[in-house]
Amino acid sequence: MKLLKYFTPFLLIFLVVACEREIQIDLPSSQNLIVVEGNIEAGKRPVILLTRNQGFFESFPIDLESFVEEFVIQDAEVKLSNGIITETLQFTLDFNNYPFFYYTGSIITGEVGKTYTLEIIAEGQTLTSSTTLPDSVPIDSAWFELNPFDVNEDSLGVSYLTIMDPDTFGNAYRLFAKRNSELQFFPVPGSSFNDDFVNGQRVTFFTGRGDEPFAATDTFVPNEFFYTLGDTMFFKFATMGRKEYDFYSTLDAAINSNGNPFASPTLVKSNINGGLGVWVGMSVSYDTVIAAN
Amino acid sequence: MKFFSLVIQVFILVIFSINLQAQSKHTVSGYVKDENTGEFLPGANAYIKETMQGASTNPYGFYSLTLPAGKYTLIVSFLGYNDVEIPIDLNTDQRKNVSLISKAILAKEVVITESRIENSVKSTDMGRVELSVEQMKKLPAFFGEVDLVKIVQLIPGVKNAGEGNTGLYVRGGGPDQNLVLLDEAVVYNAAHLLGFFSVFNSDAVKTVDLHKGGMPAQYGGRLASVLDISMKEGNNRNYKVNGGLGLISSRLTVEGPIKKDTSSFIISGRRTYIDVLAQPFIREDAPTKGSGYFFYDLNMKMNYRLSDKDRLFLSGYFGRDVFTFKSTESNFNIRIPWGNATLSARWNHLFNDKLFLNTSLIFSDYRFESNIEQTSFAFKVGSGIRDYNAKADFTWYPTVRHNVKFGLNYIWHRFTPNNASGEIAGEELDFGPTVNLFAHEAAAYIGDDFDISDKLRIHAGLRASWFAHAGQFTRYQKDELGLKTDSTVYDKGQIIKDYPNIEPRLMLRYSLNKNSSIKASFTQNYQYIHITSLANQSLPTDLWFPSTELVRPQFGTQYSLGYYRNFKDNAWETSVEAYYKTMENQIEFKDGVLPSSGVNDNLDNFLTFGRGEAYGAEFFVKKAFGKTNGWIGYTLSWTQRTFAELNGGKTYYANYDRRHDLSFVLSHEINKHWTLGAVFVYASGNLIWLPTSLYFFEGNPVVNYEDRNNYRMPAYHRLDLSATWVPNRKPDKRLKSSWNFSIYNVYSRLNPYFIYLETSGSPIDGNLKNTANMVSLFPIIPSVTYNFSF
Repeated sequence: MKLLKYFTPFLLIFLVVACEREIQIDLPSSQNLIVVEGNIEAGKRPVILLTRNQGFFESFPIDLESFVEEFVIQDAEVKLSNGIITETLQFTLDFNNYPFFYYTGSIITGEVGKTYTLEIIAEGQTLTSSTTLPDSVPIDSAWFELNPFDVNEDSLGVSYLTIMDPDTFGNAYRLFAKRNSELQFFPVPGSSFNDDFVNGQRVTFFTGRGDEPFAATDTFVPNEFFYTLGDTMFFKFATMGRKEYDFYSTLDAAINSNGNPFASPTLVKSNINGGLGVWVGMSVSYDTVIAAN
Repeated sequence: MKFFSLVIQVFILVIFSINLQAQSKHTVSGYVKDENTGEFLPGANAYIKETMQGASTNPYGFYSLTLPAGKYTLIVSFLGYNDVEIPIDLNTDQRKNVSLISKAILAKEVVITESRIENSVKSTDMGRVELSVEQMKKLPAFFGEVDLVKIVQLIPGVKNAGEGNTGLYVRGGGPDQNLVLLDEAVVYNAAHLLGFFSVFNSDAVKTVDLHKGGMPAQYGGRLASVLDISMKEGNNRNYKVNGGLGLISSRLTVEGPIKKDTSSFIISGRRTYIDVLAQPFIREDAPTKGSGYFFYDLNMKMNYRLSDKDRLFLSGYFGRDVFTFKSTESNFNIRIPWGNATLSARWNHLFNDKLFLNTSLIFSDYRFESNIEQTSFAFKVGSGIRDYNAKADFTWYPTVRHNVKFGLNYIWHRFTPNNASGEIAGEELDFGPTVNLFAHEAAAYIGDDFDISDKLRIHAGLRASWFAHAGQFTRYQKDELGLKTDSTVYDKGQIIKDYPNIEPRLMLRYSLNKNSSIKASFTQNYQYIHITSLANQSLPTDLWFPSTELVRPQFGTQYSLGYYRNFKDNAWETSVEAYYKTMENQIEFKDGVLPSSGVNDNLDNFLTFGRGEAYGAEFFVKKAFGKTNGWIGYTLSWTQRTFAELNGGKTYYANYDRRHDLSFVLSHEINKHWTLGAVFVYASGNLIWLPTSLYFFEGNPVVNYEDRNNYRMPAYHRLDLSATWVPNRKPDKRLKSSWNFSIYNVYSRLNPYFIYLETSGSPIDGNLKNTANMVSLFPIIPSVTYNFSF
């Protein structure tokens, strides 16, 4: 079924004779749902953004201020428990760090092996979730290589990383990156993977740069994807639980199938009871490398 | 095994009960054939004028009537042929081979008022439709290609899912629930070009027989229907060539005797040539020069009469669709061939006047392949299914009141899910070993058409079926998170899981009077092989897979009740049938399964199982013959699915749930030169699953789905017209010709192929936009085809 991808050009011959037009349709109304974008990293405080969904054809606010007003939930009651203490998280504005509007605390920080339970009460709904921080996996080595798909390339390239997957099934990873003077780590394209095929093996993979939220474009822009010779590349390599991984893998598929007429409905698997999104505990390891040929 | 002994007991019981009645009776039997071509005629009626008792000929044209000694008049009749009356003095067993003369051959106009013994009012068949290929050729044809499957879809209870969809959807069943047979060989993918054409070349086809309701015991393995297609045998009197030239494809058929009246052959081929025609118009330097699409198919059949009691048939089909895509700029090549191949060898043997045996050895194969090449990179994926099948089918005519069919069947299945191989820069890529799945399928059946009284006739049948998933096989065990915990390896040939089952089939007809009857049926079927697809469309990539430990056989129960009435000496046939059907162990992918899941894993680990329910009523008015003929069919129906793990356990309507479905088919012969045809269809739109809301995650818009199949697409309707012109033939010339002018989609309705939603722009730039887009395929398409024969 992976073939569908290769099959698409074939279907294109029908689309030559076919006619496509925009139509007006009445969709059934949707439920009001709360979306959790929450994480707790080893050694760090929790970061939880709460947003609302909106009906597919509802119009979007055009200015940022009303966009935030419409989507961001600012008055929720958010409680975090590490099994011993429960802390009520506070809504914070932080224009230096994505997600800019989030709930965070001052007591609990992430610890490897511990489970963190979240309870959110907002807009008449109660959401719960829990996540555990798995053991971290170190980056074995990292390096830069010129674009392997273009033999004439002499400055743009990708980063290669090697990790050693532990000999237990179910390890899942997400890679974040930044370069030079960038302040924040962001997930790289196709950031998450698991060890279904590589359990207990040494894994080498290459990636491009981190994707800034809201900067996603429909087209591939080489200057936004590749590193340049001489860049300082920073990596944050996170491990996470399987349910959390399932969220990211289905999310990526859902985002990629946007506007693809042949895609089947992709349901994003959330680990939030009563809502959408993810609550993820991550254990991280870091590496920094200068892009040299 | 217990259930096999039960079958044998029942069988013995039936034989005894019938033999007790057989005293001082004699048999008249023989073959019915076409005088002109020498081909045998299946489904012709042989009956006794005095008692109006009789039967129809079997698929090989054989009939047998056993009656008390006496003088009778035997009448042999068949639609489109002149009746033959033969006086018989039945004091010994007699052989009467009968040749019928086609009415089309006779020059003078014949007023047809035939009172056929076997017609829709008299038979026990429910939901059975036979179609004449000659009649089909008078109807409008899409791009000039007469398509049997398209015409079958005009019968009430049978639906298509719109243009671009391969499947047949019969009485609420899925596209994998139909048994499509070509000379007894299973055709696993009956479509060319994503369902725009069927694989059946109308020039090579003799009869089309559809069972959508009560399935007789000789058929099994599918829940919804049987589409049984027989190829022509070939004229054993004269050589004949016929063919057709169309806008996008052409056909050629050659047939004739190998040895007159003993053996004959037919070879028929067809190929599309859009690719060839388009070549001159594509510039030499076009970036995709060399891309294209074509399909072809070949039908071949030979038969040999060894003696009056033995006949051999050998038939084969081979067809391929080939799509190629070339990009000179990026040095990128794709070649995707797919198609079916079948081969059947059959031997007819007549033990005596009452017992007929057909033994078949059948091979069928469906393959899909995808080859992708770039400068230093090659990738190939293949999938398919292959069967080796052996059958023995007996027909036994103990008395005129009984027609008993019994037999055995064994199939060895080999399933090939997507198997990949490739190389990069000369180095082989490791995708693991080829993984095939294997299974045995066997069945024994017995069925009797029994005239209990003049008014009541039953078909009582029992089918015992057995299916086993056999090694070699690796089972991956998973925990609730979907993680592999362990694996079990089964050796070659080892039976991993088997399913023995009994399938009762019961149909009865009660005649109210000469022209009307009531029929009822109860049937249970098991289906052991399945297709399920993630995509909304049926595609040639859809994979067949067997029942396993996890995938239990689909199980269907159908009840139907009908009222049949004919008017004006059977010129008008009308019927109303209502049905209620349950389908257990229906199969879907679990929510959140991604197209890439399933490599190094078992496909069935991603499946979830539920229940289906379908009900509806079908109204049918047909004018079977005369200058103006055709039918109107209307179906009102519902079909639902309930899966514990899908849609929150709530029942939902299947995506081919079709509330209203109307077909209107008309053919009118103005004079001997002109025949007009018209087809109109109207169908409620398919249900599709669209997202209802949108949210943002890490800045990306993400859609959210709620209730399954929550949107019904606009209705599908279309009118097609045709005119067939037969020019005057010079009396001294053998050449006969005709022109078919067709207009598809006369008022150019833009019917929905699919609808999809799209989000574009960015909230930061303030240009985020959501749209719904509808894709429609064919506007008005005129075509012309020239048909000839000599």
